[in-house]
Amino acid sequence: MNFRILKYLLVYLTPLAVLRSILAEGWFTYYSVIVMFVLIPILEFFAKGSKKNLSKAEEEMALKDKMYDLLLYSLVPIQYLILFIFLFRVSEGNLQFYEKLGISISFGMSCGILGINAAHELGHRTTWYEQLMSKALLLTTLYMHFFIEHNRGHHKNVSTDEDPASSKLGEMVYTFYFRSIYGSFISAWKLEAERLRRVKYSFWSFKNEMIIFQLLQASLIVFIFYFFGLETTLFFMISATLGILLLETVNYIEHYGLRRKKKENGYERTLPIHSWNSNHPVGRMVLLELSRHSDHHYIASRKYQVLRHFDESPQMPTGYPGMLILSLFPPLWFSVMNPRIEKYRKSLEGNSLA
Amino acid sequence: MTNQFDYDYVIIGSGFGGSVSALRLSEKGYKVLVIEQGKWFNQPEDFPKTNWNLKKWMWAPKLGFQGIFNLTFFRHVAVLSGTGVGGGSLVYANTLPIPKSGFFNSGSWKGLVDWENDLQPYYAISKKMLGAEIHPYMSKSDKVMQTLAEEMGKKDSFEKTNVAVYFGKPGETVPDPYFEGKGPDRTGCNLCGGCMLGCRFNAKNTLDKNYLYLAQQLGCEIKAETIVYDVIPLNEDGSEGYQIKFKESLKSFPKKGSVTAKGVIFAGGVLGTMDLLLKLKETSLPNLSDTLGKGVRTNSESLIGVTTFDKNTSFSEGIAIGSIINIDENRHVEPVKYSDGSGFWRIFMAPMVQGNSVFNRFFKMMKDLISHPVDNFKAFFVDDWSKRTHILLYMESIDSTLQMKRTRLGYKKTKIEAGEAPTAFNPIAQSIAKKVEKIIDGKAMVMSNETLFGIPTTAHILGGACMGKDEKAGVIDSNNHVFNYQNMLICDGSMISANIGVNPSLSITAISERAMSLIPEKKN
Repeated sequence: MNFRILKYLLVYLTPLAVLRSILAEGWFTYYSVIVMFVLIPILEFFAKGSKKNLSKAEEEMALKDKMYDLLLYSLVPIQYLILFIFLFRVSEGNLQFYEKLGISISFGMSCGILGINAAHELGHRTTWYEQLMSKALLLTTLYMHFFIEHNRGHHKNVSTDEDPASSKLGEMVYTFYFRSIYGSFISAWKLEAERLRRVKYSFWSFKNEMIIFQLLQASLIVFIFYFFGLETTLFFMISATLGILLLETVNYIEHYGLRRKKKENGYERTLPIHSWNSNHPVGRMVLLELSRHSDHHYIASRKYQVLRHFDESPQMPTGYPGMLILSLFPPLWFSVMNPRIEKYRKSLEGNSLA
Repeated sequence: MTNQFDYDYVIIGSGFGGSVSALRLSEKGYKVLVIEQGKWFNQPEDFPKTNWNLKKWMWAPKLGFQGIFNLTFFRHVAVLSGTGVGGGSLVYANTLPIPKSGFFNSGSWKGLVDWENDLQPYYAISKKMLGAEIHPYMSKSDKVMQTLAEEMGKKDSFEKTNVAVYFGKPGETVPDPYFEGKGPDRTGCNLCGGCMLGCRFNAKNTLDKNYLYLAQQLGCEIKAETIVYDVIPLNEDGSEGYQIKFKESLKSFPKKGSVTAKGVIFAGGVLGTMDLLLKLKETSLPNLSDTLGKGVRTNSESLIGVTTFDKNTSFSEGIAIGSIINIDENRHVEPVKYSDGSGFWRIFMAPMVQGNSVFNRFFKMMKDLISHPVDNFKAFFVDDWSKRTHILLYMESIDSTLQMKRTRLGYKKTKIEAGEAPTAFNPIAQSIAKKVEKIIDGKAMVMSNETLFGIPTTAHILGGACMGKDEKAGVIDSNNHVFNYQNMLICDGSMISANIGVNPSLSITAISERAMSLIPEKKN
């Protein structure tokens, strides 16, 4: 038994907090929001986080240990259980509007953290069943094209102006939402069309995953509408939208203001210096090490349990949950982040001069 | 003599037996303390609005659930029971039937007393105290039952139930209508259907509105959120009194305490009393009868939910159980309901099948899912489960008993003692459910623990401390006194010594009333 895995049991904090909210009454339906965006940021404000990386031997052990994978897989049935309890709860009577809204917002947390974040980890895996699980999770938040765009688009173009999901210096999160959501959707269609051309299939065929994805998402909405009615469908859309916005906010903070240099034949290779990193402990566990993002973009195939810290990558002042909140207040965000970028650039230049 | 004790009587548990004891002993001048492991539920907000709110609905202190409803799994049966000041009355479905004569003339208490005649006046007192009234309305589910009775060719077997609910005018609060002004205000039932979540509208005549309320007026003390873990007789047979040790039930680091009393009454319900007594037989109370834990019965209940496909039907309006069909001497079926929005049970529903092995049933379940996909889908994904579901509670008096034992690890377990184990697949119950499927255009579903593991669910766990003529035949005598100990009584479901076949609350109340009537007034 490897005790290191125990700390990853914290990923269950999200489903537990969300279930607690969905099953609650009154203002307790907003419980998960308080946990994620008040309690965790306060905790992380005082925590530094460890820069420690695993040794080679430990890394091998961690990669061999199937428990890490099972922990990740378990999130798929959990997300579906939460989805159904959410639908039952909202369509049944005896709840007031503000309670239904609280429940929907809480389910939105689950859409973002399980529906997209866990799907993200699974989407980078290579087996068919892991990819299937990834798509199944993305279905619950109506963002299946993320599977295509993230792996084939974002990872290729990250930290360049060509990537809709890499925020620019001075860009507000609110305008970034429009650019990223719209841009990613278009990009996914283009990437899929390009793939079909390469393998010589017609765009209008069931080999076109984008078409399949849209049909699946439409069926889910029709299913919910048919069995649970219009009101529940609208609340579900609120949750899915919230999940998507959570993802896009994370996208915004992950690469804010960082750009790769353009060379004669394309951009320089993606290095740890092209993504913000955070070692803050709670966010790391809850989000399956997503916040050790520099290493993830450096080598995308690395599993979550072995992601590393690099001293040269830019470090976030606090963990992801706190940064998410900060980004929602653009002037504050700029005043905290822009000087950091300035300082970071200078130190990089200093390094290259030396 | 009394001055040396803290109390004359300590009552462990505040359900039907405990509450009756508390009032009657207080009336007789005794100083009484009631100890209850659950909480007080005084305010409407203390109860959940729907049963999805597990924290307020269920009792599982280790998980932080501090409600009224307790779900316990055993090898042969899953038990539904109540916790809180008022015990089972907080969560039960208000129904107060008098059992058929078979009950009074069978089992280990047979012949000790002419029970049927002897208990008659006590049944009358109990009904009056609990405010029993014939259900005056005719809800949607009662109409379904009436149609069902007609289709079964037993039109006359349909009747309205006697229930412990104040009807009055819906929503109107009146000063005490039951106890000549000595009781609390009551409010007319608004037919929300939420009786089994705890009444939020002050209409259900729970024990804290009658027996316990009146007992408190007479100076009886109630210590809630406290669990008794030891009862030590001060001499061999307890004639010199007892020391009762208790601790807080909801704290992570519970404070302990103890009191002394001349007498002790065990009234923690079958689960509570068996838990404590089986443990104490090995330690402080070794002279308890060896029959302790034996003769545990259920009403061989089958619970089947029939979910209608009609989105305009609502079965939620009314009271939890408003009518009954007496199929014959030994068989009854009642409609049960939850209020709007209380669909928690739906996540455990599975198609209703019969079979001898897990594999057989699993195969049949899959077959049902594949051959009727639309019906199963419609039933499982119904928009409001409790509104659309007509729950059938079928009860049967089959004489089969279980034994409760204590394992080395300190847990209770069950063992089949006599007759067959209670079954989860009663063919009569299922044929009735099939008829109801047709009447309301729906699909019958059962709890998946029944389909998969064959474990039936019971809300009427009874026996374990049965009556007998001596210690070889039972744990208590016909006056509820424990053999080999003085001033120690058992007054709760565990004293039920025969097959009752109907909802037992009224009988527990009546038998406790009789036992208390035989205790002399306090001498000064």
